Amino acid sequence: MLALDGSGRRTCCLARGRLDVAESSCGVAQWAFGRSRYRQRRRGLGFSDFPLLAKLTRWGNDAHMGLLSGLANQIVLALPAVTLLCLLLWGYRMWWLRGRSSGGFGELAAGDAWRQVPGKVLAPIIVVIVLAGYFAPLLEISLVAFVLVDIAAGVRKRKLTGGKQ
Amino acid sequence: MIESAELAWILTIVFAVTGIVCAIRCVQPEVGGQPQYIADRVSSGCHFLMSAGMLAMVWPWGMEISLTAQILVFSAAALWFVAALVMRSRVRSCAAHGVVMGRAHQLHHGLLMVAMVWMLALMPMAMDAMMAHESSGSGTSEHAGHHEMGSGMHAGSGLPWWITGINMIFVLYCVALGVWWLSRALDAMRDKGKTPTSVTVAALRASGVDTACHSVMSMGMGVMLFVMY
Repeated sequence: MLALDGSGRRTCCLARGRLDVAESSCGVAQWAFGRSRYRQRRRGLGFSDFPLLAKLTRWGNDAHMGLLSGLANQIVLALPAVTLLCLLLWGYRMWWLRGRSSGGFGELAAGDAWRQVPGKVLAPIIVVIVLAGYFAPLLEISLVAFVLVDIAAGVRKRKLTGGKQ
Repeated sequence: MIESAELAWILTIVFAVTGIVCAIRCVQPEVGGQPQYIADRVSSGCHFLMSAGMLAMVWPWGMEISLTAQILVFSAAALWFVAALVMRSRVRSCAAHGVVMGRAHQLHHGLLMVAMVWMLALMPMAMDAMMAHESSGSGTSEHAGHHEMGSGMHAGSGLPWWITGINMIFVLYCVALGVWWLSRALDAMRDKGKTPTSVTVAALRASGVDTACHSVMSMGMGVMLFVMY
């Protein structure tokens, strides 16, 4: 996007990386951040005119993109990302080690494991998931689908083994 | 009254389900292999009325039901649970999970009934505060949009601080109690936790259903208190 524009000023505006770039008359900025926001800006409506939820949305977007408070924001974003990567790698390592212990290449964990989690741990997790699901339902669909499949697999396994885990 | 249609329908389904469970408990001769006494039926009846009251409160037509009558009914229900707490040896509420939870159980039910009375008593004040808040400088389309996008009719800004404070204490209590009950329900339904050996699996399952019902009702009340005030 930067390469499309030869003007130093416009490039500088874009390099700031914030949605404020719509303040400039840069055509690329209009294209990138929406003509309505640009027009709104031209009419004199600024961020301070936004209602609270619009401000929160803007701050949320900036925080999500690591633009809210510079390096600190980016570090805070990087931590869960790195943690998630570690969890993925450790998960595959566990899968591989289980397989090696049973003479194979890899082996899935026993299903229904969440049934062994104590209620006092599981209950707050369920409440947080339901709360998050209210605000971001699309995020929950994959989790709900996974849990349903796990429950179905567990029920089937218990039926086959006569109720014994 | 909840302005957000989405939340209103979620709460309606929640309170309809809890109401149906309590109504079934009212008429069942025994629960989980244990006989239902009159006291058990009265307790279930109180919870049925509580579910119905909160369901009505979600919708505009619920505003037409007499507040005084509701306050009297739920005050009587609170007194019932206090009596059950004091005379537990004779009055066994909710036989199935009564054996698991004991007096704390009655105390929590009583406090939730008090929270219900509190919610009803504050409703006129909250409505007035909300009207005043909306008419004083927030009549723009942006603010109207804010209310539409919000969960309900937040009137907290127009109420005295001590009312908002007490309300938040009730909200936290309802949610914390709901989480605690949910953990008990999960343990009971998965046959975990410390349970007397005489309690059968059927009684534990019935206890799990009842406790889950109370958990959902408690958290639903927390949500109602939060979004209405």
